[in-house]
Amino acid sequence: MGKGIFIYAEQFDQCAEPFTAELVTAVKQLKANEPVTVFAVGDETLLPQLQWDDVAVKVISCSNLSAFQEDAAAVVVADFLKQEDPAYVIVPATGTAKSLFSRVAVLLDVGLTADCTELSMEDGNFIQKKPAFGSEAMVITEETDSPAMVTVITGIYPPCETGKASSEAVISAEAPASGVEFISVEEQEVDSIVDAEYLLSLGRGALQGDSIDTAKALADAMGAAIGGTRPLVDNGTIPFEQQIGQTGCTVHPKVCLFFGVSGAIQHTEGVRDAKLTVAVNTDENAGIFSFADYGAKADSNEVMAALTAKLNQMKG
Amino acid sequence: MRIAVCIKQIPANDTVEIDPVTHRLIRIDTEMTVNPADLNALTEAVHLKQQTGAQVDVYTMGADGAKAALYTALAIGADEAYLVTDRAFAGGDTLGTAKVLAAAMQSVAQYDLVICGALASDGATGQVGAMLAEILKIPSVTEVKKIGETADTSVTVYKAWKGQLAQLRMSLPGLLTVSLGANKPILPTLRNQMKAKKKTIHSITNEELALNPEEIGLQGAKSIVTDTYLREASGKQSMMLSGTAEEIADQIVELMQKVGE
Repeated sequence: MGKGIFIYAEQFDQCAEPFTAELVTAVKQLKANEPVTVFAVGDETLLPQLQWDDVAVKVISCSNLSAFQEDAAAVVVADFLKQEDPAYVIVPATGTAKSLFSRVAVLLDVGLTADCTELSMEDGNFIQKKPAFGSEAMVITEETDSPAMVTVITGIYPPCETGKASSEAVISAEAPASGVEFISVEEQEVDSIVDAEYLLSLGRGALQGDSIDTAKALADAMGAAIGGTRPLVDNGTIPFEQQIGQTGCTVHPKVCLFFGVSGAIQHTEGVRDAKLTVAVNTDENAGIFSFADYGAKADSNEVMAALTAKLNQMKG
Repeated sequence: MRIAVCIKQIPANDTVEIDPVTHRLIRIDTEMTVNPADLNALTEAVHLKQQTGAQVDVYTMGADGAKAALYTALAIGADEAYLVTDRAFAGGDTLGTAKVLAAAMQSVAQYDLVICGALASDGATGQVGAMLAEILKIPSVTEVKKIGETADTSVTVYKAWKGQLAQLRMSLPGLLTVSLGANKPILPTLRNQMKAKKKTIHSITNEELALNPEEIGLQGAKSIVTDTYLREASGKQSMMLSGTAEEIADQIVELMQKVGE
């Protein structure tokens, strides 16, 4: 059994991702009697970006490694973790970090528990709560190996305030050759729902005929973004980037209106801290009516159309 | 070029109950379907087959019922189908699953390209693809939106990244995971479905692979579920609005105005 808790700090172009601070909170709340270290692969310019009280920071400096070279980065990270021998490794559940640590898990021959929403330490055992996807259930998981590696969904824990690192170190490493070569990045137009203040969330119940057009008209009138549940993504009505919930985005809108959403936990889990939530559904027993602040048993399309008319009329 | 595609059969429906004694998930509706992102993966492979004349082999791990997913894949355009099936494989975590799939592929051929769906709509860990690549010791690009130019030794791909598209070149052999919605999945025609039904599905069991049962399946799982429970009802009840659609709309506007102030 190793020692210490290591938090992986993701970065791109030497800018540390802000959600690392959330993982620091998650780890501090464990109140485990273990030293905490944040580590990143990059250069020394990351050090001042990764400063929290009582947390050590280590940067693995690797000049011959570029972004997206997960095959080579995995070897570097696995070698580092073998050297450091931590008891626990906490990783943000982003696509890029999950790909990297899936490879690290193979190299260390340990498990990787995905998408945890709550970490805790009970009687000296590190346990995680996570949703059982595609269901209304939660599962509690443990790892049988050391280090126990888990990915944690971002946007759940509040960010920890910055402070002063307990120690700083830059470790040089040489990456093996990678089979992936970075060519370029091009802008792509995808409506981001993550930062939207006003959000429409659509469910299967809102899917009739041209209801997506009705929803788009309402979104225009409200200045809202459109998101939705998995069935709408699976059938191609909305792109994956607009899926809200455990397998999609976590959103923090000011106002969220739900139309035809059943209220399955895997969707509502993705909507957090909204000041106002209103649900419209024809089924008065829909689970969403025990989530939303306000509800109405009504036809989604009719209410969306009426709301659009009203808002457009108010604008004159 | 020889391509392997991994697919997974998932429940078409999300509804579950929990057995009060064993705390295991019981699927209420057992209708199964091919994981949507895997259809995108298979479609990319069939497009490559049309362009380059590649052979496309499809793999799934599961019980006999998973053959349905393989017949669908054959009808869509896969050439050969492999059912990786053994009691020893069941109940594994993502690492165990990746070990079994890697061994199964290695027992059949040396593939130039392995393509998986980026993530399963039911399990959604998105881990098996990258794990498979590491076990096979080949490079990988995950969450691919588009496959560009393909040569004998490399493939150009576009990966969604922070609202942008990153263009990358991966040397072959390599592995890609394809994002949900990356393309319009090919729908099997009735005629192709009939033709697929006549094809042989190859079975691969642990008799052939001879993997250590302690490293795979339920026994080998390193990430273990110790308990399962249904989320408790919040006890919260929405304040109900009533009236015609217009009246409800008026009330929603008022509520939004209050929050906006």
